[in-house]
Amino acid sequence: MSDDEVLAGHLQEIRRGSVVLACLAVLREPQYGYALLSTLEKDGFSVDANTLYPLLRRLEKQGLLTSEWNTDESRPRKFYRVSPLGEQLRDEMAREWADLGACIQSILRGVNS
Amino acid sequence: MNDLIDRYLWAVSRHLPASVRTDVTDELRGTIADTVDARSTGDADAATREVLLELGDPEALARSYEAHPRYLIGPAVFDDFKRVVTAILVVVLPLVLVVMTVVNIGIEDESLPAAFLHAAVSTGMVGIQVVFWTGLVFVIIERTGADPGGETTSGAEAWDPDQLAPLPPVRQIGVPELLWGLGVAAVAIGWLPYQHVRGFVDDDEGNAVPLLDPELWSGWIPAFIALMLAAAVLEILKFRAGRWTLPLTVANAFLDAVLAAYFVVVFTRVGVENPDFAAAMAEHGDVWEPGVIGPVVLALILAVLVWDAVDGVRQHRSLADTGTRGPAPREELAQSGAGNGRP
Repeated sequence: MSDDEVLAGHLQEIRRGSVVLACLAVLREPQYGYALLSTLEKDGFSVDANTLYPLLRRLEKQGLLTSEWNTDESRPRKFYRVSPLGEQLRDEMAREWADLGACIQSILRGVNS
Repeated sequence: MNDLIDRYLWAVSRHLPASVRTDVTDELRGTIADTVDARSTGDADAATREVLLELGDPEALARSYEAHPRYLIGPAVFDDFKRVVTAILVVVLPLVLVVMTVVNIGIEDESLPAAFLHAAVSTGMVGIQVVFWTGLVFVIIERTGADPGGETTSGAEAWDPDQLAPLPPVRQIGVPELLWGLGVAAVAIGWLPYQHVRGFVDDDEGNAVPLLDPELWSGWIPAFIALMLAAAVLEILKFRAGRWTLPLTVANAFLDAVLAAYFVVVFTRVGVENPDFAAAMAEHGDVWEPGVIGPVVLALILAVLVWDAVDGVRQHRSLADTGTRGPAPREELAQSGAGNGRP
């Protein structure tokens, strides 16, 4: 395994949790799958479609998202929205994220100085 | 172009559970169309191809939508499965090879190379049977979640150190017990066709006369073989648990009771002896007293069965005693650990 592959693996590990938090944040407003993917990409999260769509299902099953089919337009779309439980968990995850960031920063300062 | 999308969706839906199949497929159809629309700058076919390529293998995609296990024997029971299969194969296969070679030479009158070759084929078949049936038992253990080792953490309750089982002072049921139990069942089953084909004495035309009444093959002997197979399964479960747990003790006593009832009925009501046997023995001038030997054999069998059931209960109670006493003293542990080669 080359160094690049090792790095790619570790970067993926770091990003994995961030996608869930990003979804819970973005889905304050109802969005359908592709629109959510575009929003996330625009904001700098590169997520694979085949990771995101099953993830939305799992979050819905866990009760963090609710979904609704919108058939007003010619193409029926499934809209996801964060649930009250999802909001609560999102806030806790955000706090954890901030704490973790601060910890990493303080450790790295020790390395760099 | 649409044909390609439909084929992709069909390939995905085939691997989805029925409960979400339509919903997931409908959503994917919309999502793919959205993505293609956003990408295509004229060549819709190329864009479709690209989008499907990014979604990847339909089977892998479907798998990420569900959480059911996709294996027959999981990591929790795999080690035991491997140990049981290896233990059985190591003992049974050489035995079968030798016995079948001898049988092929002695009974079938084959030359040594032919006898050995045929025995090797039989051994291969036995090996496949052993792996298959043991595997099946473990698949059932895996599916039914019977887990005497207490290794799974899938339960809803949070795990607590207090739930840790007390250290067993000795592994009560190890590889020797397993091999002994399976060996008894195998010999009991194997002896039946042996005595039927090989016989005990020859009649005046030189044909082998079986000891057991050939009529029994129409029902009573197959029933006995089924009971012995049940006993073999129980042996594997006992080895898997390593200890005389309450369900195993009860199952063992129950099987002993069924066997005892079976033997009493067969010996006293049905009759086991081949009607031609006594005559053939008399011809050879051998002494044969069925009136004496029958009851003695039955009494011996019943004594063994009672002893087996009582021994199971006794072992179970010794286990329960150490359970309430707490962990065994250190010396005892060290000794027992050295005694049966466990790390």
